[in-house]
Parts: sequence; structure tokens; C-alpha cells
Amino acid sequence: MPACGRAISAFSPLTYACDLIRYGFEHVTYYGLVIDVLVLILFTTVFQAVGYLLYKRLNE
Amino acid sequence: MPYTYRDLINDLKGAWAIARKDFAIYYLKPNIYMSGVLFPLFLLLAFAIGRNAPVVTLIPGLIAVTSLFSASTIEPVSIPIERRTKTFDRLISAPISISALVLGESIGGFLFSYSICLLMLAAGIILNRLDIISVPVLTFGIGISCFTFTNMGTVFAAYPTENVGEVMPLQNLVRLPLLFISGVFIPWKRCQRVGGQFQPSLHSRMPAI
Repeated sequence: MPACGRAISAFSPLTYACDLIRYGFEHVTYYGLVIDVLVLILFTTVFQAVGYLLYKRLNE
Repeated sequence: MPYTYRDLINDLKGAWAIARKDFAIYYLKPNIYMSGVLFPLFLLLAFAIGRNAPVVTLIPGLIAVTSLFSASTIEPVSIPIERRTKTFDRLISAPISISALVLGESIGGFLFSYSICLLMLAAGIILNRLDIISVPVLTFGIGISCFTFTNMGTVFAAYPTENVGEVMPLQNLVRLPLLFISGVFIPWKRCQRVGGQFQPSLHSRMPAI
């Protein structure tokens, strides 16, 4: 994949999810286990925070 | 007024009640199975048939895509329906915090998606006799992926509409491009090779005839 494609994919949670799941089958990881888990936790936290703000602003 | 331990317990109880409500009402809706289970399955078939791709490459991709689609489907279906039936107003005015509401909706989607992904995994293992190298990493990885994508679905469901059809296209605008940039069906090593075909530097290295 071109460098720009790889740069965009770094912002996709599916990239890290797939990398983590693939590790369970093949013991091969592109980013590393710790990075995958930390980034997914970061995405979860960001989604929770954004969800909180949106529900507070749009639905109250 | 400070947030106390009793408030935390109250919020967790409220979140669990919301998750149970979603479990009881929305888990059997046909459109959830359509976009959460059948869509990833047919997408996989579209990628796999005629390509001789190894199963060990396809099954992780299938599970990842199933976690994305099944986890982010429940809330964008359930919340607009609840807005239409005015039961969402009751949730908003219930004596729980907004964060408990978001958490509860997310737990509801997570339980659904995790069980669907484990079923897919079991089917993959039984039908294709796949070997799992690391069971704890795999189950944890599926779990955290499902929870992340459920939260993503909860964010999209915040769009204030009573029509499910207004949330889904918005969400698909994000979900579908993710499939093609995340190395789901083609692992990164092969992605680099395929992408390399479009790099001018590759062709400039070819000898002139």
C-alpha cells in the first residue's frame, strides 16, 4: 500500500482490531500487541467522550 | 455536588438496565441481522470466491468486519426507534447520568456483537479446522474491538432523528471506506505488494526494452 494509504489507515480503529485478531491466528502483527490494545482503548475513550458531549448537547 | 460511590453504583445499575432493555427488545430485529451478520458474510464471499485466498487470512478479516458491522448496528437502529416511540425521552429524564446512558447503550451493542463474533469464530474453527495460536489474545482482541465499534455506533446514534434511514447512510459513509484502508481481507505484507503496482518508482526500475 502506498505511504499515504498507510498513513490514513493509522486513523482507522479497524486496522488495529484486525491486526490484534490476526495475531491470535498467525502470531503475526504489524503494529505490535501493545500498540494495538492501547490505540483501541484510546478510540473507545474518545468515542465515549464524544458520545457524552453529543447526547448532552443534542438530546437534552 | 461531588460524584459519590453511591452515584457510581446507581449509574452502573442504570447502564446495565439499559443494556438489558436493548437485549430484550432489539436483538431479534431482522435489519440488525441483515447489516450485522449477513452483510459481512457476503462481503467476505465477494472477496474470497475465485481468489484462492488462504482461510487463515480470511477468517480474521471476517471476524474483524463482523465486529465492526454488528457492534455499530444496534444503537443506530434502537435509539431512533426509541425517539419515535418517545421512550428515549424517559431515558434522558431518568435519574442516571448521560455517561451511564452512553455506557448502557454501548454494553447492549457489545454483548450482541461479541456473541455473534464468537459464533463466527466457532464456525470458522469447526468448518475449516483452523488453529488458534493464542486464545487469550484472540478473545480479548475480539472483545475490545467489539466494544470500540459499539461506542462508534453510539456516537452516530446521537444524531437527533426519529428515522433509522437517516443514521445508517451517515454511518456507512465511515464504515465502508474503513474496509478498504484497514488491511482487512489482504494482510499488510500483500497490501504493500499490491499497492506497489501503482507506485511510479516500481515501473521506473524496469529495464527499457
